[in-house]
Amino acid sequence: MLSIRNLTKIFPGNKIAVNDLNLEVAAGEIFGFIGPNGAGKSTTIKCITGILNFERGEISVCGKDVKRDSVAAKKSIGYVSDSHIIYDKLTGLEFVTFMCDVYGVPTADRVKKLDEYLTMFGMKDVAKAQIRTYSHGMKQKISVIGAIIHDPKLLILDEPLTGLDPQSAFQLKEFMRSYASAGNTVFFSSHVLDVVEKVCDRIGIIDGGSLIAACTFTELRERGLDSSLEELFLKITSKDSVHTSTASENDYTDTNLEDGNERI
Amino acid sequence: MKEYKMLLSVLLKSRRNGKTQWRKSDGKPKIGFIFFLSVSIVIGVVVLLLMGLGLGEAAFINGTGVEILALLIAAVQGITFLYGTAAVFSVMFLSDDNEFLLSLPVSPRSVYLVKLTIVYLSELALSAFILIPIMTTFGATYGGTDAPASFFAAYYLMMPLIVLTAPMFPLLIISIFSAPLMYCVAFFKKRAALSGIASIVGIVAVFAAYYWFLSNASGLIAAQETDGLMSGSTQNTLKIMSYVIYPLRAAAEAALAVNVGRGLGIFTAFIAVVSVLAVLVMTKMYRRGMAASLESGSSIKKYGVLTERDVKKRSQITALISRDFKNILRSPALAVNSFLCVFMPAIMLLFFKMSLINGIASASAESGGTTVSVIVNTELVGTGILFFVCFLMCFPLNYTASIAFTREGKTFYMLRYLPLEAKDILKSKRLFADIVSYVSIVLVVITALIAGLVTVTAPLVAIALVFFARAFNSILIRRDIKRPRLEWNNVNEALKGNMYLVAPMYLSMFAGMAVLITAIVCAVVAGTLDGLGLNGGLIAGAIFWVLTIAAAVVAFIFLDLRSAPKTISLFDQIEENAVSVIPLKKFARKNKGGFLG
Repeated sequence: MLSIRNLTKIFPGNKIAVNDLNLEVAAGEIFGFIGPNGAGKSTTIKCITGILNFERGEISVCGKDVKRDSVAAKKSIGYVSDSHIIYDKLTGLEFVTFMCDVYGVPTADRVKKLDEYLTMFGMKDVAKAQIRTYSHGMKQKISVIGAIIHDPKLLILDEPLTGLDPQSAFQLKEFMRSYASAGNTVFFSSHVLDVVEKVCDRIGIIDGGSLIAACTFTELRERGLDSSLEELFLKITSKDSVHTSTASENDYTDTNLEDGNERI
Repeated sequence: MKEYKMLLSVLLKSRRNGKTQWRKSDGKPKIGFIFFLSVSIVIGVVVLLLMGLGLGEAAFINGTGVEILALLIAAVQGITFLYGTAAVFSVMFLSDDNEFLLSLPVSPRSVYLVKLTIVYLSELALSAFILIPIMTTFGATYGGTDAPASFFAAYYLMMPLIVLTAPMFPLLIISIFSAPLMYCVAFFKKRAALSGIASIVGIVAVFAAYYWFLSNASGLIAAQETDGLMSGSTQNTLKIMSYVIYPLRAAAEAALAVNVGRGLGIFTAFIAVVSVLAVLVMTKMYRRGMAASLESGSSIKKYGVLTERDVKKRSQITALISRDFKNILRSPALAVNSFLCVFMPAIMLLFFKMSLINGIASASAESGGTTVSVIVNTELVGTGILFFVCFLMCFPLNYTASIAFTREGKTFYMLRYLPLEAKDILKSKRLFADIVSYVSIVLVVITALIAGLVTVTAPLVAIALVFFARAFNSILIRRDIKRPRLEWNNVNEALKGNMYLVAPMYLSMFAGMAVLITAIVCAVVAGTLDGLGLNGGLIAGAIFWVLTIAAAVVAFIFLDLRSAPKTISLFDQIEENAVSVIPLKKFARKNKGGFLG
């Protein structure tokens, strides 16, 4: 579903934001992308969605190359940004209709889907109000509706649970689960490790622009790592600990990377 | 004071940071751009110096120095009033940083003074640019060779005070009235589109009144002037008008050494009183005004039963244009800036009709000591002026084109991830800008027909203007796409000091003058040929139209058709080229083609 090969993104000032990142995410998976602040999560996501150009590497979504066949690749993606900056002068209904037009959703489907999603996220009463009047959580919900209205094969959510009330957060998690069960892929970044642990089938940990871990929880358990994701995260992203742990737990380390970090 | 200094320093830094328009994407200085701008500024200064000379001479001959200087300051303050209104509202009340500033433990008075200072500094640049050259030559000519040194000392010492205080009065007045107006925000916030329309109507009305005043004043002087001498009634009218703006008359009296102490006293006391009044009023009302602008009070239509009509399918381009239109109309400051070009050419055309064209119709020329009457073709002159106003007010001021991508601001990233071809995004931007230009052209041509400036040539005028509009819109969009400003907190930040908006204005003005001069020359030729018994109107008209249509088609081909592919390739580099970011040299070179690659 999502294939990233040797992705490298360099920002002005020679800052390497993402360094030679390789990742495969399969259909039906919920993939949690975690890492410390400034690790390269959002940059990677922006490269996948076509927001940012990248210097080296290839990204394909449903077999469509993001660089060469960008429009086709983007049609398979639904994206919710962490900035919550959307066209706030439009009403919620106008925004979602705009997204339908851009993604070419047939008119007949629009009424049914809009009714379903607006009800699901409790947004019916405010659908005809301008987005600028929405709360943070409401903006997040209308962004999610806009992102899923065209039934994308790959749903990318950057920090989707930030600002959501417990009920909405629960609804979104349930939705992610059911969406993946239907054969779609959910790729999301989060700082809430508890949620990642509960919702995800597989996780990827990025630090300093390099992917240093990508595996399922079952794989972690099979390899004798019983600690919580929080402990694992702290252990892996702390450089001193990485070297200590990789030296002592060589059995679950499979690939050495150029910069000295290691992939699980 | 400490609060004021701290806030001012921070806000000025945040506006300035990284925003350079003088450098290319690789960091090298833009020699061509700097040269063009410098030449434009020099030409502007020379024109203003000459204007000061003319006014000084007229004032000296008629003994109306005080009146003319007072009216000159008033005219510049009028400009500040027109342009400063939108700036005051967008910087003081509708800025994104208000929420943050409200949360800080600083007094609303400090915030008000800091925001007012920011608007003042930007308006001061314009008023100083106009006033300094005009006043310099005005004083020298008015004083002449006979004036004592004390006259020049008083005048040139008073000049900085007048220049520095010129924008203050209009801005203080606007800010005092803006506070109660912000109480209307609650009403208008529920009707965002209505507030946009109301703002446009209000500004257009003010402009119309301003031009009406100018055309009457200039018409009055021109009609009664003989050999540079004004009639007694003209002088009386000027005197009455200068008394209406008495504090400015007092400043002029001080500057021209008529009554230095009294004039200076009245003027400074007036500025002090208005300043104190503004601070007192705003200390009480500013915080509430700012808070009112942040309150969410949008009226919510009942959702009811959703029908297919509510979510009717549109093409991608129609959806993009519709989104753009709603976004502009629901942002009053953006609406005023974007749609002013629709109405201004028609208003300005009427201004020219009232003040100039009747005089040009039968011009006089000196020949061997005798005055001979030169008959000119009024239709050609009218056509030339029509083109000139479009080049001045329609093409370069079409902000739907010149800030096509800048106005996206922080939402620009959405255009990057949506499955849209760059060419479709550009097409939507250009179509939208074209529609705005076409509406403006229709209005100005209808106005010209009603005013009798053009008759049978109206279709030709419209065709040529459409070609020019297409060319200008394409070049404006291309300039914006090269270095957009995507990081802004209010529309004012996106527009003020944006040299990418200024340069096309000069270019367009020169092009407009070229068409106008061609029209006037052809009009004189037509009159001369008519006098010889030939069909001068037809011959000169044919020459004018061949030249104009050819220029329009050439502009369309080279600026629109041929530059379109290059513009598409620039779309990929927008974020890297945004003025807040200077990209790596090698990176700028790498991204030369394709949608992403």
